[in-house]
Amino acid sequence: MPDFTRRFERQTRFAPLGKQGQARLCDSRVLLVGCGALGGALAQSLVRSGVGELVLVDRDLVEESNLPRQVLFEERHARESTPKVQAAAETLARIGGPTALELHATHLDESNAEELSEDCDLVLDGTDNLATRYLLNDLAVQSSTPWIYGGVVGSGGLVLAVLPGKGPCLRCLFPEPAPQGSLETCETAGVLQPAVALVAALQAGLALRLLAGPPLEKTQLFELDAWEPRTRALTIERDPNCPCCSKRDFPFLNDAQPHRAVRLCGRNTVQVRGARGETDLAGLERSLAGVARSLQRNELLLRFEVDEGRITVFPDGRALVEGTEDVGRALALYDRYLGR
Amino acid sequence: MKVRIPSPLVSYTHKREVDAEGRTLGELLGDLDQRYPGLRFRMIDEQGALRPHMRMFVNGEQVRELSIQLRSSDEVQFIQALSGG
Repeated sequence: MPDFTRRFERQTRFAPLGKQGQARLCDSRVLLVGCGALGGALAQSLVRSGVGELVLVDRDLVEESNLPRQVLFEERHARESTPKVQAAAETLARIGGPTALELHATHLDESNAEELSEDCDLVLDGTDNLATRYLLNDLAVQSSTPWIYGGVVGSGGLVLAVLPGKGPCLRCLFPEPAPQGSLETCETAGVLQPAVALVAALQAGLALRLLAGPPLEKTQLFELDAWEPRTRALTIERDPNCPCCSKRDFPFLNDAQPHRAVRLCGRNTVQVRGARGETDLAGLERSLAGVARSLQRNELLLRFEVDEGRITVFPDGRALVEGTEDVGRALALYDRYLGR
Repeated sequence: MKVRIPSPLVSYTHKREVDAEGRTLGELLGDLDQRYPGLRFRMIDEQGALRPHMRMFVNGEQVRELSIQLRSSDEVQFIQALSGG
C-alpha cells in the first residue's frame, strides 16, 4: 500500500487520534446502510478520514430531488437514474485514499443482514426508514457490534450511538415501531440539507471515536436543529425490560418474514406487504396532503399519485406501487411515502 | 413554560420552541392543543396514551407519565422517532 503519512498529517496531529488511532481506523471495516443524504455525507467523511474498508449498501436510484442534499450525486446521475451505490463509488473513487469500497446494490433485510455485516467493527445508519433501523438494532445487539442511529426530518435530527452491553439501544427509547402511515417523512414534512449535514457530522465524529479513540464514557441522545440552531444532549437509560438488549429477542432479524414485495407480471406494478398489520389511512392522508396528487380515500383504500408513479394503500398495510417493476425501487417508494 | 416541538410537527406551530402552560404534562398538552389545534392528537392516541414513536423529556431527563407535575421554570421537550435520512 502507498504511504499515506502526509495525506493524514493534519488529523494525526490531533493528539487524541494520533498515528495509532489512524492505524486503527485504517484497520477498520464499516457497514454503511444507505448512501443517500446521511449515507453520502457519512461515506465521504469516512473515506476522507481513511477508514480501511467501507461496505456500502443501497437499493435505490439517483433522482433530481436528491441533489440538494445527497452530496455524492450529480445531475448526470439523476438523468441516467444511476444506482446510488454506483454513483457514490464513482465520486468516492475520485477522492482517492486507502479505503477499499465493497458495493451492494440491494435492499438490506433479514435474509442478508448478517452476511453483509460480517467482520464489521461498526454499523452506520444512512437509511430512510425505521423498519431497517429496527433490523439494524437487532443485528447490532445480537452480534455486539456498535451502531449509530441518525434520523432527520425538517430542520431537526436525532443521533444515538448504541453500544451493546454498555448503554441503551433504539428499543430502550422507542420499544415498538410506529404504526404505518403515522410518521412524517422527508417527503411529507420536508428536509433541509444543513440538518442532514449536522446529523451526519455528529454520526461521523462518533464513528471515528468508536473506531479509533478511547471508549466513550456514556451515550446520550443528541437532538439537533439547523433552522432554530440548537443542540441538546438528552439522558436516556437502558430499559431493564427492553425486549431487545435485555431480553435478547430479535424478531426483526430472526422471525421468518415472508417476502415483502412481489412483481405483478406485465403490469409495471410491484405489490408491497406492510410489515406491521393495520395502516392508519386517515393519518396517512393528512400527511400526504399537499405532497401527493389525486388523493382518494374510502374505507377500502387510499390512492395517490406522486412523480414516481401511483400508489394504492390498503388498510392491512399492503400497497400496489405502479410505475416500476423493480422490487427495491418499490420498497424504497413505499418506505418514503408510508413512513415506515 | 418553554416547550420544544418535534421537527416533524412544526407544520402546526411554525417554530420549534413555543410557550404553553399546565400543572402537569397532560394539562400542558391540552393547552398546546388550544393554541395549535390537532397537535395533541399527533402525540397522544385515542386511549390517552403517548404514541409509541413519541417520547417526553423534562429538563433533559426522560419522563414517562402524563401526570407528572411541572413548574413554570421547567423546559419540556417532545421527541419523535425520525425516519428520514
